Parts: sequence; structure tokens; C-alpha cells
Amino acid sequence: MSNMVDDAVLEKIRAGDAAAFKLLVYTYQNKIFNLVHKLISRREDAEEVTQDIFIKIYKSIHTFRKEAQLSTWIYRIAYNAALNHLKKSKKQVHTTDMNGVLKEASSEITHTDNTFETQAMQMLYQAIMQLPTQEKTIILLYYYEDCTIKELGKILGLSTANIKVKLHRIRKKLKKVKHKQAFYEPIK
Amino acid sequence: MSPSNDIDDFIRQTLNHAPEDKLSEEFTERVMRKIEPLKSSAPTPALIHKNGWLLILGIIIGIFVWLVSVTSNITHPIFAYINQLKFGEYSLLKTEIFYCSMALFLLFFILEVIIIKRQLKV
Repeated sequence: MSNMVDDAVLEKIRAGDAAAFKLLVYTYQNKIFNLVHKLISRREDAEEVTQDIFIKIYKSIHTFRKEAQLSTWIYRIAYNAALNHLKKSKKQVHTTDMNGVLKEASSEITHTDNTFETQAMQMLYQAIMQLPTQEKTIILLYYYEDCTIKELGKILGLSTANIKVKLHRIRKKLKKVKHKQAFYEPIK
Repeated sequence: MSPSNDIDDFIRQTLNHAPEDKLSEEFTERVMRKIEPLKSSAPTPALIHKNGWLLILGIIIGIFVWLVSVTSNITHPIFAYINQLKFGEYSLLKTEIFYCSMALFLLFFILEVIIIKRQLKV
């Protein structure tokens, strides 16, 4: 995960340059919204939380001490904001039973949805979306945003060993989904 | 390909095919409008870091303890021990030491401010 806003821009933001902050918002808004929207299902809520995240970034940018990458710091704020929102609205999914997930996932598949190449992909995606918030964040940031284990640890406030264990467990869960879907996949 | 790589690739492929959520430029403008009123009341960085305050507090307590030891007739062995200590012709309980302590306190304070200001700039 590379830093998309350089030090010069960061300094300008700290000096109160609105254009520099606009650049930061523009650079990160889709990445942050993409994560938040996958954690918070309602688009309107996800947009509002993303907006609050950027306001928080603006307010606390002077506290960023470059101990981590700027993107890591931003993702940490985003994760905490999404988590707070979920706690408030009590919509957090605590599903861990992957059999239930599989059943739900298969029932939600529509043949008109052409986003995914295969039914297996569609089912895996549904299973990922049904994971608990922390596990979903790990998967999204590790596989989609290419965050390192160390960065994930900083974002979630966990040790690297803990992240490795969690990743291993999630992989195991998703492998189960992948194997089970083989029975559903029609023979071509 | 190992089974681990297999599932890794499959998850990666799946997420790459997932629908991407995008925000319009209007969103950027909305955020900028929201931070507009904050500009005038933007929080200024603290002059002294929380650790700096602890340092200063420690020095103040140290000076207070030293003053108490000088001005009162405490016969605790630790004060008797301090009283015995001498650096050359200077006794630790001489007035000059008090001025030295104050100078050190000021030095620490200035250093702290410089360090924190530098940290905020980096």
C-alpha cells in the first residue's frame, strides 16, 4: 500500500491549505468509501460516515506523527469510525457459522448479476460480506488494498502474530465455502 | 500451486470482480464545505506534549521536595545523606544549587518546546 499523498501536500494541509486537503479527500474518498460501504451496508450511512472520517482527519492531521504511513493512519480512523457507527446502530453481523452463510449466499445469487465470472466467486463474495466486521476488514484490506500484515496490525490495533492467526482462520472458513460451492456449480 | 495460494488467488480475483463503490466530485465539495467553518477554529497543536507536562511536573515536585528539605528540620536519613554530599567546596543544600535547579528547569522547558515543535513539523 503506497502513500498517495506526499509529504509536501501533508505539510500544506497542516499549514491550512484547503486545496491540499481537497487533494487528499479526492485521493482517498473512493478507497475509504469502498471499505466503509462494505462494512456498513446502507449507502447513505456509509457516505455520512466517510464524510465524518474526512472531517476527523482535518481536525487531527497535526497529531499524525509519521510513525506509520498516512494511508494506514487514515484507514485506522475509517475502521474505528465504521465500528462506532455499527455499535451505535447495533447492526454488526456476528455470523460465524459458515454453513448458514453458505445457505444464505446461495439463496441470494441471482442469475442476472453478471458482475462475477462464476457462481463460485459470487458465493465467496457473499460469504466475505457476511463475515464479522473485523474479519471482513482484514480480508478487504489484505487482498484488495494490498495492506501488509504490519499495516493491518496498526490499523486494527492488533499484533502481527494475531493478524496472521486471524488471516489463517478466515482463509480456512473461506476455503470451506469454496469447497462446498463445488457441489452447487453446474457442470459445463 | 499450494492450497494456500489457491485460496489467496481466488479471494483476490473475487474481490477484483466485486462492484466498486464510487463517490462523485460533489462529495469532495460537500466535505470542503463542511470543513469551511472549522478553518477559523482549527485546533492548534499543543505547545507542550503530555510527556512534557509529566517532565515539568516531575521537576516541580523535585524542587518542592528539595525546598522542603532545606527549609524544614526534617531529620529523615535521606536528607541527612543529601546534606553530607559535597561537590568540591559546594554543599548540595547551598543557595547556588537552587539557582542551578531553576536554570535546569528552564532549560528542560525550552528543550521540550523545541522538541515538540520539531516533532509537529516533521
